[in-house]
Amino acid sequence: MMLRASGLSLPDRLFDAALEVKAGELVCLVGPNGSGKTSLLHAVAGIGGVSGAVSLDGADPRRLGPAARPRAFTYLPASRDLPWPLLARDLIALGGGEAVEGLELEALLDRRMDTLSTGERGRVLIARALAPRPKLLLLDEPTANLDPLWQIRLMALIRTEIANGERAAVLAIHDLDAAERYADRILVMDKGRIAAEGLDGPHIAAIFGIEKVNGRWQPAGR
Amino acid sequence: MRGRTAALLLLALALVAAASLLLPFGPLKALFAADPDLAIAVLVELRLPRTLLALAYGATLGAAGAAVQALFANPLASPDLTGTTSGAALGAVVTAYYFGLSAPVALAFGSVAGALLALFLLLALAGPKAETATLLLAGLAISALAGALTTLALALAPSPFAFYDAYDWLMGSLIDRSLDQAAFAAVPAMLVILLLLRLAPALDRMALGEEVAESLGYNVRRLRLQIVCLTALGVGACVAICGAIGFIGLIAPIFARRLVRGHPGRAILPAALIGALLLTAADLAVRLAPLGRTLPIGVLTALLGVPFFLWLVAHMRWRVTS
Repeated sequence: MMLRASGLSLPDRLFDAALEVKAGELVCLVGPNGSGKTSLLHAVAGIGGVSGAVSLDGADPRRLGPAARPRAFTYLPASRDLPWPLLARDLIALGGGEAVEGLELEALLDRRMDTLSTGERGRVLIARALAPRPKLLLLDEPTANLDPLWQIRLMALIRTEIANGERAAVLAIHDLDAAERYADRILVMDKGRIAAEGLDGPHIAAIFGIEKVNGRWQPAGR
Repeated sequence: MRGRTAALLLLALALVAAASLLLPFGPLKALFAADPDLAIAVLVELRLPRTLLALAYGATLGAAGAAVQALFANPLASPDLTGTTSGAALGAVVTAYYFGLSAPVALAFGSVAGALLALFLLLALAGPKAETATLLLAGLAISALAGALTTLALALAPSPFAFYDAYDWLMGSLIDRSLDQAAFAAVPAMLVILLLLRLAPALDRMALGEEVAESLGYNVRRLRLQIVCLTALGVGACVAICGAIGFIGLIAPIFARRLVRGHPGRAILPAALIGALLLTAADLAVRLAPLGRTLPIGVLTALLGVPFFLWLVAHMRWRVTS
């Protein structure tokens, strides 16, 4: 087991959650709004205080200093807004890495972040998270705001990044089809807990209020 | 900041500092001919403290302004617009006229306490991630409150001459300070700037957003506390000696960030240099202006700073609406 996290809790948001991830694994967290996906990623990354026990290859990554962090794990927030307009190149450098191949950033690197579209900003922010080549990627809604082609390319890129079997990725994602297609494991969150694994079964209708009819998601009970 | 820009800034600073020591040159030259010892005394005991204070106060305002702007992620935050300077002035006035303590140490304690109070009030009112409007409104309220309380304190002061006494100081003045007083502002100021420089990498990461900064191993809450305390200490020590001087802390960081491709933390060093340059130049202008009486320097920085501030506000509004 590469990542072991247990007893994670955040006041009013996340209750005694546990997460285990194997090296080489892509885990998708799905769940309704407010079910605790972001909180779980925060708890593993130590954002907003430390709770529970987290071990990444035997050490607590939340105890690492700024120099060692980007090699251990990186975190991509769901928001594409930034408090200061830096150049894309500088933003990636501040994250502790250099530009990544496969995101076609060449034309964007010397532009200021506030002159980019939301989707382009997203690609630069993803590059910031991927560039240090961390052992563990914690990505909150990585495909948000991306066009259909880039959504597919990005998920394939994340698979390539962890393909050597030494790295892993945990994604919080709303796109259930993408989760089904690319994830090794899907964890369904509900009310601050991991409630179930996989998208087959009656729990999906109970938690999300949707069901799959003829291969398409629809409101349950129609 | 590129090496050439840094060298140019340092050169300009050295020139202005030298001019501040030597100008106006006429009386100094005449005095040298008549009584060299007296001329040196004038240079060391009158002009040197004034130059040192301008350099130290300007650098502190620049560095603290850059740090406060980085912390609030807002280019309009600055020690004067957020009420820190007025809080420091109130602290010093209360210390001087109610506790009857006019020693620099006591004044400095009073004004640092006032500055701290104002900054914590700002954090409580506006919150750490305030929108521009909230931040400026909270700052305005704190400035107005501190200003009113300062006037009240002076009006009710036991000494009937308090108001007249305090007038020059409140408007900001670098004149007639001793070398001891200059050291009293300059030493804490330099210490604060050095400590702020150490926080530059963390403040740069704040440009990625608070969550990412924390995920990269920077403790944002501790950072906030450090910036607040250091700003209060640096600004407080300077206000205790020279009174409130506005707008340098707003303008210097804005120019500085242009030299470092917008990095909010890396801007601290150039902001300190530009702040020192601006205040020393402003003091020189006040001294050489043919007005008969010396203007309080705070008046000049405000006269020059307000149009810049208005331009900035208009510029931000255009960018938001277009």
